Amino acid sequence: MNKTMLIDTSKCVACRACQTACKQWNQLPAEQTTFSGSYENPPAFTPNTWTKIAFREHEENDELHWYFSKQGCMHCSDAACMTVCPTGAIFRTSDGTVSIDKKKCIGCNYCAANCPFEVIAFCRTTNMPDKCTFCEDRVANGLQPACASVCPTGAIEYGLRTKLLTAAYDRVSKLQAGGKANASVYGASEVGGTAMLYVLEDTPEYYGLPTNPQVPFTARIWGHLFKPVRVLILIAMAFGLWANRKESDEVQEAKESNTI
Amino acid sequence: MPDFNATLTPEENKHNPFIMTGEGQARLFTTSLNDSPLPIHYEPAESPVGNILYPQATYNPISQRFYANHTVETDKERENYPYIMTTYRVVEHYQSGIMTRNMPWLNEAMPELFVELDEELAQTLNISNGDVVTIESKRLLKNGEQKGIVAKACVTKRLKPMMINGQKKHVVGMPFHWGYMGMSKGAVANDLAPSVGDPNTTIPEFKAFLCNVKKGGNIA
Repeated sequence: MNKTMLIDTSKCVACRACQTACKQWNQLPAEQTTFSGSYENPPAFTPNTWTKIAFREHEENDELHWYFSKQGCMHCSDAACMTVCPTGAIFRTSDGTVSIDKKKCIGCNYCAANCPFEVIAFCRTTNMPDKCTFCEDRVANGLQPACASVCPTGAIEYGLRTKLLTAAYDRVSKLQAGGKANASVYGASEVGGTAMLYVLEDTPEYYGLPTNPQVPFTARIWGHLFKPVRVLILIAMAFGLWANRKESDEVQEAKESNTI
Repeated sequence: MPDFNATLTPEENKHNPFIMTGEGQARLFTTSLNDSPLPIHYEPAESPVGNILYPQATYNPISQRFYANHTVETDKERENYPYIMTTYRVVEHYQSGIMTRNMPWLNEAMPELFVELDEELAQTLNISNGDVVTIESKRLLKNGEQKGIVAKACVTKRLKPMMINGQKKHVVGMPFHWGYMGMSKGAVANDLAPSVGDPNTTIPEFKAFLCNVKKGGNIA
């Protein structure tokens, strides 16, 4: 993983420029939303919403915090979606990010069902999953991802992972020195390290991020045990159907003569 | 009015930064304002309590008024409008929203007019997040008939009840970007606000006034 985005939540002001810029660059239409009691909108990831700001209120010792974090595909090193994808439609790009090749996708929804961050949205009309592409079209042409390019406060930084990791730990030690004892770096080692690095002012759960994200065990079983032999299983299934064809004829006859 | 002199560095400027006065200093005593010579404390034109400092004048007596019988002034009336309202902006919309409320991406992020209530008030009024509520003020009391505007409720920890003069008072807040035209329509929050201007600049008092909040209503 070479290219990384560092999201410094302590600098985020929740202007949602990233959310809008993502839609603009990727030509995603707006959704019909309603106000449901939070500034966070749309309420969930959809095929037309790949990134959004999560708003969380947290009160501790009479101190109120309003935590903002830009959430979206984390581009995990140990990506559950890639592990389970039966056709190899989800692949790792040369930059180390995770992408979906829709020509290969068969719409099985395994990726969306197994994502530990629940950021892959599955479209029921087109039967296709959709998620953040890390703006591969921009990155390939030497540009920053759209969200990083518009951030007015420098809360989203794009660059080399080694450099940004150092910057993240520097920032965390500054926050801790400033009294934020629970400040931490998120994404440095979670699910093998993610291309989205976070500087959090508090524990991940207060941001709506899973504290200990894991690739589901069933995903591992499927991905590592059954997926490699899936062609054999398919042949065995076909053979089984063919072999039992005769018995089914017998059942048919029995039904016709009303013996069962 | 503190500001910076463009031809000087901040270091050179720091001892006389008030460039609108000849001597560069802030003035406590002045004869150039309508309510001069000395600044004193007044409550807003519509306040939940009287002025403790100067009981004979709750609000600024030379504030600019355009209508008679426009604001709540007696304790009896205050009972009908027990909550303090403040209005503000959201980052997604601009002013009356006539440009931004026609942008689908911005409407998606901030789709409807809402009113923010603290958790204690919401519990008292049995209002939960996303409920439709009606907000009333004296400006919408016309010919003895009380009308109100409707908005969605946002129950939040960010607002807390205040202790004012020994009484617990609730503050509610709403943005004022909505109107009757555009892709995202909504009630006009400033219909609630009094038309009272400050004595010098006529800046209206839209940021603090009294209102009542009720559960229910019809969003047009």
